[in-house]
Amino acid sequence: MTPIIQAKGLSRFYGIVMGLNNVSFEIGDGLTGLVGPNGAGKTTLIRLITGQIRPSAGDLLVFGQRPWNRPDVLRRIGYCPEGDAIHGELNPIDWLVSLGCLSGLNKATALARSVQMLDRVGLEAAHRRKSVGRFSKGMKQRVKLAQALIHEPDLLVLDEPMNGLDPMGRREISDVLLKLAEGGVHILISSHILPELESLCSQLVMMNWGRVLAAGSQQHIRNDLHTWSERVTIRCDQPSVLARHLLDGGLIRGFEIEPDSDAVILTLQDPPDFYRRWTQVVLESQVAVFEIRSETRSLNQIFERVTT
Amino acid sequence: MALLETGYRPWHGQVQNVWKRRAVVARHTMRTCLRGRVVRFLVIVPWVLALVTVIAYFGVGQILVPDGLMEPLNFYLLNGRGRAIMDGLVAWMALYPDITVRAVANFLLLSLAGFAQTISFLIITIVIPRLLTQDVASNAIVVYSSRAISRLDYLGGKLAGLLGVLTLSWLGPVLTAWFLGNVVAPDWTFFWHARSALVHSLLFIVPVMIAVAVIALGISSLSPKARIARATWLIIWILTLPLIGIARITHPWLAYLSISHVIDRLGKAIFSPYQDFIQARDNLPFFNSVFGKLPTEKIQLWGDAPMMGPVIALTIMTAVAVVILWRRIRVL
Amino acid sequence: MSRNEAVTPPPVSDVGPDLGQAADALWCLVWKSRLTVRRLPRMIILVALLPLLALITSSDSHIRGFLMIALNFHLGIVIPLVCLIQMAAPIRDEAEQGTLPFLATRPLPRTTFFLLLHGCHLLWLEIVFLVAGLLLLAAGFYLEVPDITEMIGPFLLAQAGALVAFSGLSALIGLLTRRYLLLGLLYGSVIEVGIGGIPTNINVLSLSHHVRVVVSVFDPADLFLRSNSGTALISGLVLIATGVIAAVLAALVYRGREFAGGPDA
Repeated sequence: MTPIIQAKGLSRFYGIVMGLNNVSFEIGDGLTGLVGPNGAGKTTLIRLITGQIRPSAGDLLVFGQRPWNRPDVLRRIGYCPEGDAIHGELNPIDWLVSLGCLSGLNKATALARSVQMLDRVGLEAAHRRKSVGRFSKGMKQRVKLAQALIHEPDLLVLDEPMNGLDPMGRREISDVLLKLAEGGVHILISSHILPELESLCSQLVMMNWGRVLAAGSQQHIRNDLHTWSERVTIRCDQPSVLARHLLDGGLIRGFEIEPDSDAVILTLQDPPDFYRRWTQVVLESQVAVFEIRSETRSLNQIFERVTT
Repeated sequence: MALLETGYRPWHGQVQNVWKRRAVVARHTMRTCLRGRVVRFLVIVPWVLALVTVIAYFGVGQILVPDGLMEPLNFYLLNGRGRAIMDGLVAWMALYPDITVRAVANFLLLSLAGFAQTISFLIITIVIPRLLTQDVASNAIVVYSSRAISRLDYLGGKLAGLLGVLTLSWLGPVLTAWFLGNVVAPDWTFFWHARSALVHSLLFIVPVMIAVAVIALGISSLSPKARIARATWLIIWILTLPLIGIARITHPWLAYLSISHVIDRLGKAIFSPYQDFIQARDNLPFFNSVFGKLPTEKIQLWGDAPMMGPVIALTIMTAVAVVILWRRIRVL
Repeated sequence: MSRNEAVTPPPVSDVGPDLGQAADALWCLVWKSRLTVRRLPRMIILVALLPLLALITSSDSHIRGFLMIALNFHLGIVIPLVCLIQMAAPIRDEAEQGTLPFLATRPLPRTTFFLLLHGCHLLWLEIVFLVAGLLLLAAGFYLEVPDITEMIGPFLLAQAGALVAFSGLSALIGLLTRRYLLLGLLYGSVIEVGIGGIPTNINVLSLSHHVRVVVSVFDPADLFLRSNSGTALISGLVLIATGVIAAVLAALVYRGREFAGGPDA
């Protein structure tokens, strides 16, 4: 299947400052998360994808074509930028209608879709005739998302879409994005809120220092980290007994018993083998297990691991 | 359960007084304004002009002494008649040093102040967005107000910073020209004879500088956009210049809408070059025949001006700027 | 809700909006951003300032004063300066505000987008100045300036042409350099005021000269203005052509330049 976004040796410089350095990756369909700290190159990459800037070297294809000055490519992209800025003097309906018309909708369609999209992003009707400049950050974020959706793009590019939203708002937007993805829209989300990306995105692109450090599914990335020893914490009544049994069984490489607690931190030898056989070993040890926690399955841990 | 940050230690140092905090704002403003090669170049230009003024003043001084530098130049460059005229000129000037030195000093410092004013206005054109515009755009007043300084301290610091820049580009060169010009004069009495030029310079430049700085701050606070602030300043400075021509054929008071005209008239009122001209014409017999042929009315138009009109106009402009500042710069 | 369940009737254009649609959309954005309650007092003051000035300068030589304000000041200084301030940086303004991404990522060719945006801003300026010009002429009528009704046509045409020409030029300068205000003032001092004010063979380089030629169809203006020899029709065409060519060049510059900001924060 043709990737939605393809980068080959892509570089982008701002004078002597390096935004992106010789990155190559492919982004397929579905929900993809773009992860990286400040200055990693995420916004630069997003600007390249949305045709706002051009590469200094290499190539970037979106739907098989370069996006710079290509209306046919831009027609299929919906973009929600990060900043707070918005045409503040207009009310959201007028603003969305104008942007919808600029995207190729006729006025009646744009008006209908504006209302529909504002319903979808959860902006209450009472606010729809006020000027956007008076909105809170969260309300502006919803309106920005609505303008990205108004022309039903095939690729949705969202730069920090959850900024300014309360937890309920984030949940609502996440639901919207999941439904869009189910409906066949390809979504690229850049975010710092790693737990949300973890639940939303099947694919990840991890960036730092202008480079793509890892790309693919979370599992794929984790499997690629050969030298990475997964760690598991088990709380039980006899940590030392359990640890000895697991060590004798060849399931762990090492362990550490937390002082003044009933927990043992295990460094696994072979994670799949451990998860297949550990219950048997626990039964044999006759140790009562209260809690088992893998500290290495979270996106946060993967990211920290990849970027250090 | 309370969260305890065991690494946290409260600071028990000495709190600086409010003047030191104001000085921080002023210092930061000056540093921001003086950023960039263009501004630094423009700041240097009046000092170069001041040097030229010193040289001219030095030349006049050398004319007045018999063994001065000009004497061999006169001998070699001028023919007999020229030398005789020059000798007569020198003799009369030496008889009336108070008129000569005072008039020359007044004229030179007034001219230097005028050039320095234009350069300073150019500097303000460049730096005006850095004064308050950026703070208005970013709502930095909120950050400042969360510190131990009031709105007045903040504005006072900004004003002091801009005055520091204008001192570098306007007052400083003029005072330095006066001082150095008299240092290289052939006689210490030059300091005494030129004292009025110093007083005029201080009386003229200091209040005008303060007024211009307040007006610039007011304009700077009008909009969060740098372009609008700069354009407004240019409109007030340049766009009002044609009003002077319109005022000449309609109502003379219209000219006071132009800040350049107001400052120019104020300078002429304080330095009163026309009075120097009249005194030179009446008391230096050699010059009588020369000056008597000049169009006195036109010279009066150029060199004489009432004080009240410009003072009132400048006061009104400053008051309007203060009102704008007070309304724009506040925590919302 | 899946895409297949979308409620809207006709499908979206495959490539993008047609010119009329895009122009209409941008025009809505422009005028609705400009004509707000907050900006109305400022706009009224700006529009009424010169007519008020013309009224209060009425004196024995009020005709000369009025012509000076209307011809020299309004046409020769206010219009070029306002064009430089307002028309030089619509793209830079949007980029500075952070709203350019919403517009620049729409399916419009860059040149088309720029020309339409420029056109919308120019149309707004023409409307505002039409009101200002009519008020100024009304002040002239009140001051009993002779043959003022004959001045309406040449004055408004000259004004419209001046706006087109100076807007285009300002747009080009604004895209070429960030220091467009200073460059514009330099151009104005040297070409418009300097060369344009002196009767030489090269004063046709000055747009203000052509503006004066157009307005000099009105005889009192012809007597009042200097350096205005020429044919009004040709000068009018020169003004329009300069504006259009400069705008097109600006659009071509925009096509190749990026305004999306610097490195990531």
